Amino acid sequence: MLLKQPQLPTPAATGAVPDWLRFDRISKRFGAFTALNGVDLTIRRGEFVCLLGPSGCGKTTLLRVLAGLTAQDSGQLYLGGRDISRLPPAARDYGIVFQSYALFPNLNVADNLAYGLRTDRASKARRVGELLQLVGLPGCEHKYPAELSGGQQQRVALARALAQSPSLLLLDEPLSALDAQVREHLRRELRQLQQKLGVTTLMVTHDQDEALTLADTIAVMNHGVIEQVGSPEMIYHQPASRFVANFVGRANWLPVEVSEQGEVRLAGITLALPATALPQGWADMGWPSTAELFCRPEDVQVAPHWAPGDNGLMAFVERVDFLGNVRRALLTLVTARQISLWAELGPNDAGLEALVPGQLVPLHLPANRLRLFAEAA
Amino acid sequence: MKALRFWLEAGEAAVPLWSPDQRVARGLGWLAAIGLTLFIALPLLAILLQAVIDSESGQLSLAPVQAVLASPGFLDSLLGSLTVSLATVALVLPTALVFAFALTRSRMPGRGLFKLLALSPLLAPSLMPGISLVYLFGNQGLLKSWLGDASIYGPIGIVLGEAFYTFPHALLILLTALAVADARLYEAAETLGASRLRRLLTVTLPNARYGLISAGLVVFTLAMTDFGVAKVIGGQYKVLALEAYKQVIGQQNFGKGAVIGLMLLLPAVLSLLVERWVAGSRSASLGGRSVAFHPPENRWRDGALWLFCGGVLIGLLALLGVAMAASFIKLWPYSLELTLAHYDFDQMDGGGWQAFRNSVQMAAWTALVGTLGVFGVAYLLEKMPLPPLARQICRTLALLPMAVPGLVLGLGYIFCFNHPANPLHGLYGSLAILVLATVAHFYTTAHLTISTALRQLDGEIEAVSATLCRPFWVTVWRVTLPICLPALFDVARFFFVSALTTVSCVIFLYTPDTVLAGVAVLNMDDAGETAGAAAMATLIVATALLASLLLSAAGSLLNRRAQAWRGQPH
Ligand SMILES: Nc1ncnc2c1ncn2[C@@H]1O[C@H](COP(=O)(O)OP(=O)(O)OP(=O)(O)O)[C@@H](O)[C@H]1O
Ligand SMILES: [Mg+2]
Repeated sequence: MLLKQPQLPTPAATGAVPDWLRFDRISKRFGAFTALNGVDLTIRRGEFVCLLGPSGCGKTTLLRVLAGLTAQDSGQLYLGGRDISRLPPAARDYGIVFQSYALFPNLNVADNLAYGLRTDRASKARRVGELLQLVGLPGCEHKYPAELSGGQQQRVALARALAQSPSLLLLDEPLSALDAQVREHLRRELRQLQQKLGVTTLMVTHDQDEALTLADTIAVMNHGVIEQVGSPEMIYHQPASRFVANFVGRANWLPVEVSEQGEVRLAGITLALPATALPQGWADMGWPSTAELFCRPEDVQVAPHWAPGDNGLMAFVERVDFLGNVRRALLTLVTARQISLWAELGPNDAGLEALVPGQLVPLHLPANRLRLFAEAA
Repeated sequence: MKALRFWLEAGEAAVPLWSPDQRVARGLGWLAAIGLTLFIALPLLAILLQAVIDSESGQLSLAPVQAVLASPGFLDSLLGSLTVSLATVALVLPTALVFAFALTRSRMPGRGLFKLLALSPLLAPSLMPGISLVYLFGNQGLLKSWLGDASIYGPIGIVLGEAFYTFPHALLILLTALAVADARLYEAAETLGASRLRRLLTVTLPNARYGLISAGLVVFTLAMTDFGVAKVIGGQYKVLALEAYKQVIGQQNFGKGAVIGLMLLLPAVLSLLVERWVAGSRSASLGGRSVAFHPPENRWRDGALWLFCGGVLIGLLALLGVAMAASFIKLWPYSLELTLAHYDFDQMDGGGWQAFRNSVQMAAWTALVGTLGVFGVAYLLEKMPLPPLARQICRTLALLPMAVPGLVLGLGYIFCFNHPANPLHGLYGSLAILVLATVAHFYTTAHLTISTALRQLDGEIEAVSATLCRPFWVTVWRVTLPICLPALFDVARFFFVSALTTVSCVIFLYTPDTVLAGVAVLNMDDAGETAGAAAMATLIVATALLASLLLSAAGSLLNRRAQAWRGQPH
């Protein structure tokens, strides 16, 4: 699937070079298997980028290529205008945290942190103290990794990666080995630390919540290709592909008919759609007769009373699930009972009371939250 | 040239990113490949060529092989070898299985001690049981009457001696196979109401099947290729290994020795293939999540097993102890006065105390060179981006020695290094070649031990060090070596003890200056100095025991110091 990458949003860090770090058509094969298929990606200085994708899509491979630990078959890497494609790991100026942490088990925390430092004893000790302060583990110098909890080990690994004040920080699923609570806590700390140091960070994850809460920019990967790059907002509300729409959050897929003039009709009702909701090129290449409409469940608005307006439909409530303070309802369209969709309503939504199974409710699909996709192959 | 480049670079990325230290590692990888080729592959190639090159015409021909196959004694020797080897398997396998069962699946008292004693034959040269058997059942033997009309000089003696020699090898394999018993399987069988016997037949044995086959093959191969026992107690009975030895040592008939040596390679190669095949079809019943099995109390079972194991141990210890005791006795069995006269080796033929000193020196070098060498190669293989061809060579050659009997390797070394065209010809006759041959002979076991230890380390440790701008040797010194020390001590002990007790591999390679203790045992026994041979064998056992204890103690001391960081994983 060839997709045009949307423009990057305005930089979070002002005055940043737009492409401080650049992947240029990076490809990597393992035997007959293509792990990376011409990956292009640019990262601004100071940006926090999450590489998000399902297991086996090539995230770690891309990170290792950037780190110089795996050699790409073709393509170039540029860091700060310098071609680093052929440099060995030590010459690339980054710190890395592996999924397993890879702490040296027989060295205590201080020796782990000082492993790459080449200064005298006193300044090493000073730096170790600083780093431990930074990651919130003061006084842990003389403990061994096996004596630390998972979260503490993770912080030590992070501190070690930061020991030489690299300009780039690489994280491979740094939080995935931790339990949910510790994870949430560390997530916040990681973000604060990154902002405090202003270190450009590329983090690999397959956890969409993590990516959505942490990142300035998310790059969604699938099958060795980057499908979309954009802010969390954009990834969530304007997915560029069916894969992105399904991988991040939940989605309704509604079958629609398209007229030759490009009118989109759902269950006989013509929808008002902004031009941005239509895939690029459809207008030139001719409209398909059918397509699928994408809409997030929480964007489906259920109203207590019918009110005239665009994109209004009537639906039956089939089922209601209570999920804490959210209710999720399965609805079927009155004019086409075979078309069903999910709606998610929060406690402050007006239509909440109307969600009773069997009830007939008016619903509204906000035009700016709809997107059209070609039918699944 | 193009093809060569392709081979050298096959499977590598188009963009090389080797850092300086990785280039060093790649260079070392080639060095390791060359070293292993020189000291493992070439000797084997040499013996192969020796067997298929006609000595007169210098042409490639199968005539030498045919000549040996057609020679009058050959069929007898082959049958003899097969008979005693199969008989040994039939004796050792059930015994070792019950013993291993008792150690892992019962609550029999004294299991730790039983295990140590059962492994004690590993400390003795294979000639030792032969000597003990002579003292017990020989012409002047104490218990000669037990055998009635039968004679110990022949198949009976050989089988008993080989059984002693191979028992610990079989036991170790079966212990591993049974130790990973999955308690869940047992519980499942119990809840299904399976009777004890059925549980044994349907759960224990199928799970140990792989271990049983592998133990059987090892015993068969060891018995088939050992000539020490047959030399001491075989009498007129002919076996192949002894035939090869006699051809080379007695008659200087190297070509014939090479052909018979190759025949001895067959069972080993065959067992390797069978093992591969069995391993391939083995189900994954012993997964990593198996739960350790805690056998329930059962007095009758434990009592019966205790008696059985006690009986086996008495047999083993008798074959070890009688020679030891006899070495301190003036003239067995007529004059039972205690004496140290048999330890006055310098008064006897065979090499004297020099042989013992040589042996200790050789064993120490073997332990040092072997342990470091094996670690180095295994490290490069496991952790470094070696060129694919170098990696393939090292992998294959590291596993090859397992299939090569010591006798064959030793013969190969003669053909290879005694060849005037070999630039390493100078090694011939030195202590160094004995060390190299011994390291090569025991390479595979050591390699597997260290590789396993290395594989347990986090694979990213090297990557992290590289990103921290440290060359790999700093990481080896500060992280990998300290973590692997216990395995290194194990391997050093293994090398030392094996080097001290081996005879088969070095018998063709020693000179009067480099004669070894094991060889001295053989020579003294040959010269009729049985008591002297027993004394030298006793000395070997004592030294091996002492070295084992020292290395174990050092290992556990280090382990205690490392307690802080080994700790309990969270
Ligand atoms: N050294 C290798 N040799 C062969 N195949 C490899 C190698 N490394 C990775 N692969 C394959 O490349 C694909 C991508 O691997 P990668 O580790 O990049 O995935 P990932 O996106 O990080 O997945 P996960 O979320 O599971 O960590 C996988 O299918 C993997 O099997
Ligand atoms: Mg990964």
